[in-house]
Amino acid sequence: MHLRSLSLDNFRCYERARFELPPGLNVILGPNASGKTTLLEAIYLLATTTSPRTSTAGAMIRHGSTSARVTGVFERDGHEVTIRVTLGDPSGGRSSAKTIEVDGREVAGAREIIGRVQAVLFWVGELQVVKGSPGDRRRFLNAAIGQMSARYLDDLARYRRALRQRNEVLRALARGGSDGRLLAPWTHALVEAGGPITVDRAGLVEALAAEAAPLHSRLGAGAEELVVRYAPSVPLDADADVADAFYTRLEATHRREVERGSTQVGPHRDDIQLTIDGVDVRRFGSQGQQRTAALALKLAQARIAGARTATEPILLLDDCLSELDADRGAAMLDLSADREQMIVTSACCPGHLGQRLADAHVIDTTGHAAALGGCDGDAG
Amino acid sequence: MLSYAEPIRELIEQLEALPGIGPKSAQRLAFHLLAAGPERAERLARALVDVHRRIRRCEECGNWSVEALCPVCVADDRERDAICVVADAKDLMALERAGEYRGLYHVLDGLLSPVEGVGPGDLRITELLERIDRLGVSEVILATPPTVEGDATAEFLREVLGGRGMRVTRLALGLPVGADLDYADQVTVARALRGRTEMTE
Ligand SMILES: Nc1ncnc2c1ncn2[C@@H]1O[C@H](COP(=O)(O)OP(=O)(O)O)[C@@H](O)[C@H]1O
Ligand SMILES: [Mg+2]
Ligand SMILES: [Zn+2]
Repeated sequence: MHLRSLSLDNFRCYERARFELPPGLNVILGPNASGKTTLLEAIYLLATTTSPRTSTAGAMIRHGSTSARVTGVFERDGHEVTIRVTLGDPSGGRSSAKTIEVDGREVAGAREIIGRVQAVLFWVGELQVVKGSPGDRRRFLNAAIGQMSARYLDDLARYRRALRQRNEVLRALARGGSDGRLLAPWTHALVEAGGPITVDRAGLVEALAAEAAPLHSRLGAGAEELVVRYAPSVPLDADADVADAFYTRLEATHRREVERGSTQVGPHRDDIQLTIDGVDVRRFGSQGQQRTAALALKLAQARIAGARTATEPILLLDDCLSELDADRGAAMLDLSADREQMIVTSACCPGHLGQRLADAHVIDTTGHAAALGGCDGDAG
Repeated sequence: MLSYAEPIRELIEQLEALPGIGPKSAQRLAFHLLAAGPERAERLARALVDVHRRIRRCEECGNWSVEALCPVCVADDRERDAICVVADAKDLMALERAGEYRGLYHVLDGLLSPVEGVGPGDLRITELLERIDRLGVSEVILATPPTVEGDATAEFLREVLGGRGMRVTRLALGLPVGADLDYADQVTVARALRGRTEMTE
């Protein structure tokens, strides 16, 4: 699928702007703080209803305005779909309000967009997948699977709810103010939602591992081998039912969970292990290795999403070109040559990429910013 | 800054305390009631007071009722060997509107929720057990909603009722009638699959 046009009203530094985008490679060029990342953020917002940069809707509204609006016209297999996200309230109400419309009809939320529009974004925050905590890697898994499966998001919401309730009973048990009969229903709810989450994550990580390794070596890492492995809190065994395994682990840790007043095992304790030639990338990888590993994971995610949902995601890559050397930069563009649409940002026009960029459609944010009064500009 | 006269402020405050009504709607309602005149207001006030004076809990099932027993419990054409357990009277009415079920009901008055401090003692479970024993019920249908709390409450009741020898069933999670599998919500389809029932003997 691809984005045909993007309109912004009072979105961050854009007062009013409209862009036409062809399929294939689009390059957003402009100096620092000219609104390049903002454009990718807007597209990501349309595809997922969330921003990668902020969880506060109000932060995306242009200073001095009460509401912002982003509209995108997407095309998929010859069909057009228009998505519009309105942030805040034009009449000055809550700035945290968020309204989503699909083809002019207001919808309840992300669930309705899943499967219609997909985008995969790589930006500087994505490095957390490699460098960050296990929680950052779980967030990556949740976003990747959630974008393909509304059912996964439902299980996740139910799991969190069950976990909160169960931990409350555990704390009461520790105080001696409850009995085991009250724990059982929440254990049941936890396992019922947690089992499928574990299975889905195992499936995704397996696919990621298979896709990411060759991408990683083609990104210029050469002979270095990236290995991606799921480290589930509840061990998955081909012969055993995941629910049984979960119950067994819960029983084995029961004393500790009561002592601590919190559930010790389950998907909320999962992690992914990333190694290059057997060495933990998180702890011992160089900056460059971490970056390439994260990029390989992201590109792998895009391929999997495309294959599993029959909706080719739009690839959004923020500030990748300047950071990769000429060979890696070229490799990245070539890797994505078969993608339907790829939108990349860059602060300078890396001359060494020559023909590849000459064939691209260029969006210059300098012009837009100037013509429209510009950004507040923390450039420099 | 100029603010509304005290009685108007009080009315807005009272309306705003109602579920689903924000400050803006509260203001709109308050001024609507003010403009509609005293008669309209008196009718509303009377209805509010009346509902509390005249409505009570059915002594059997917990449903809202004018008499000591609600219409379901006094009806002589209801089957008395099945009890359908619901979270609240609203759900009871929803099931009644479907017109399919001919047995009795039992209103729990909520769902288990440790975070909100709701335990088994806060639900009408003792009353349920007492009725089951007294009526010699042969089936209990657990019709709590398909939320985490609804499922957990059903699971807790299943455990409590175990060993009493009657059938315990749970309301099935199905697909909307007439819905094409193609268009049904992905979540609904997935959960209907999980709750599928055996068709072979
Ligand atoms: N809510 C907002 N209102 C107005 N300007 C904003 C808002 N949020 C961010 N900006 C400004 O938008 C500009 C563009 O940011 P960004 O898209 O990250 O630039 P780039 O990626 O080109 O470096 C920054 O100067 C920033 O200060
Ligand atoms: Mg940027
Ligand atoms: Zn009754």
